[in-house]
Amino acid sequence: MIVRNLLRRKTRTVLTTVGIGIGIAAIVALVAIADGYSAQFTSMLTKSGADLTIAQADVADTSLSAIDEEVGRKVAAMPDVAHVSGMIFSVVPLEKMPYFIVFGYDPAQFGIRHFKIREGRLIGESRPGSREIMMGSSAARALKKRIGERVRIYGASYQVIGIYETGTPFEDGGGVITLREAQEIFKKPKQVSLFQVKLRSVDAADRVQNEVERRFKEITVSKSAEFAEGTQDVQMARGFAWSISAIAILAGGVGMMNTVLMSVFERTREIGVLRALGWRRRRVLWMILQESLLLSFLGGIVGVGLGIGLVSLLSFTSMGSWLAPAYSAGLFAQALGTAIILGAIGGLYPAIRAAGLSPVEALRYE
Amino acid sequence: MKDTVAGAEPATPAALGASRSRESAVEVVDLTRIYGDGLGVKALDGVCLGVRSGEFIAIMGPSGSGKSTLLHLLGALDRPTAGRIAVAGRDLATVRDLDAFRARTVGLVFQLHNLIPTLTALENVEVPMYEGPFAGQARRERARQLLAWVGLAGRLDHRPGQLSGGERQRVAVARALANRPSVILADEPTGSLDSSSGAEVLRLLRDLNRAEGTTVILVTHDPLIALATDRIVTLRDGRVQRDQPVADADRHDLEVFRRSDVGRLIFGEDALTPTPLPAGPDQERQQGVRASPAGRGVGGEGVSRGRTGG
Repeated sequence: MIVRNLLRRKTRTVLTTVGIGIGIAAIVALVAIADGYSAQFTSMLTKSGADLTIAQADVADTSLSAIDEEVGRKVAAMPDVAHVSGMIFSVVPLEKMPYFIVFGYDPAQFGIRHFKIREGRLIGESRPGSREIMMGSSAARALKKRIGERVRIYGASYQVIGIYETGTPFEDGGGVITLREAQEIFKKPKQVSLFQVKLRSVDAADRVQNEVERRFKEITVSKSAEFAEGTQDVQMARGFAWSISAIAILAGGVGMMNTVLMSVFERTREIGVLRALGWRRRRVLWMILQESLLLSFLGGIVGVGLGIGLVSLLSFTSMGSWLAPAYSAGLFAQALGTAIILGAIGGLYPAIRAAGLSPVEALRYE
Repeated sequence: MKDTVAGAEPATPAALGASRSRESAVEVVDLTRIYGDGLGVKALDGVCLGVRSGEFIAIMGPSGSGKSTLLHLLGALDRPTAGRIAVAGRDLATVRDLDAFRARTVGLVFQLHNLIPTLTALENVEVPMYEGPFAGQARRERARQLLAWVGLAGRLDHRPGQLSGGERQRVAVARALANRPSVILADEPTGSLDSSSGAEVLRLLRDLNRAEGTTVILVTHDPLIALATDRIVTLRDGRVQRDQPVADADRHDLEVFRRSDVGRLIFGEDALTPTPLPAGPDQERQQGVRASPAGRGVGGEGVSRGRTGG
């Protein structure tokens, strides 16, 4: 009966389902992208084997973070600390890749070791000012660069001397130069964006964390696995994702309430008949609520499909190499859960109205 | 699904368990219903009425006389402003669960069939049973038997839109019987039907009353229809104007009625023994209707005599 009631107005049901679907699609797509962003960030910092990550406190964007190299040297001298590796990164728009990320690593520090060379060799400190770059495999593919060819970065020409792969799209879609050159072209003299810290024992993590934060002003220390979640970038991306989704969901939800309400009005007489035949208010309420729940559940499923489709469409755009949407069972559960809650809230008012109809008046309704 | 029903002998209403209670079916004392506050419309003004169990009565009167209001009050669809109503020995003022009362004690037949358009005939008959004593397979089986009894064994899976007006109203009668009500309340059940379809519905109600003793209260504004019952109560301006047995009605009127098509169908020889509608002719009739589905069953109902008596 529920299904048939929804099939009465097929176009309206389909449109409403799509309306909810768009809201849910927004959640799925945007949150998956934000989650993916966070996951990439995390893998970038954990693949090197670092336990802690040090960054400047309160920066809006992690690439704006700047810490004096001096801090790194002092941290390295702490008894619990095994190694410290500095790193600079910045987005450099290239002609074919507007989101090309350039990383600066010191070839002598551990951070560079997680770049697995597929072709050519690692950048070396051997010849200062040599303008060497190693490129991520997907960047090399997109820019059609081979070993020995050149790329221009901020007016300087760099020779590609190696091609690497790390499995993290941020890195594979970017390139690595030496820390020295990065400090020069990104105007961070004797500074780095982040320090990655390896400890002698993981048990010391909390102790070192507190110690470093106490000793140095305006820096923040996080466990590498948790660093990304704490950054403004990720929090903003996530907040952005949910607020856009909230708007889309609100629109879909109002649409749904409207649909269910309309269908209750249209069936006023019918509902009067059901009540006259002895149907309890509860049964009428539940019938309408079930219709709206089914509607929103279908919308949720459509939305998950639409969301995945949307992200795969985006992956063909220029920012595609950057996207690594992280779909998780939790995200789908959240999306469907949101849809169902929407259905319950959107359907409740019409259902209460339907259940509250007086049978005599409903029967007189034309 | 059809086979089991078509093959079986249609059950009688007794087998279907239409119930008959010994006490008076309806007791109405000083019943008043005012719509709106204070100086509202007095739809009913001190009506007293007693209906014995097993009676077949007609409530007549011009529009606005309070017929429908009375029926709604008897069906517990509405609450009186003053006065007392007892149906099947239960004082409605003391009935806690009016929904259950509506579902089980009374059976409603409306002027417009008011079937749920998305449900099949069978499912429509099952609708009131969700609040009644029948569940699962028993519910389905009972709905089938009831439809067979009203002559629609071959129409179980038709939607209201695929049925003629008369067939729809017969589904509505089957639906009213679903939970073995002790009183059938019919609000102009023939009002929107042509006379031969109307006669069939009327005959169903009469069969039900005669064979099973189910109390039937029929609201109509058609004096000839009223002559098919045992007793006519006439309302005017919310009061009982006249209350007399049909036997006392104008002999001429009665004679005219009995000779009319409707009268012959109800009182004619084939109607002397109220039995379930035979399955055979029924099947033919249904095929006739199927051949002209748009005909709304006027000629398709298979009643060859012309239309008169309206």
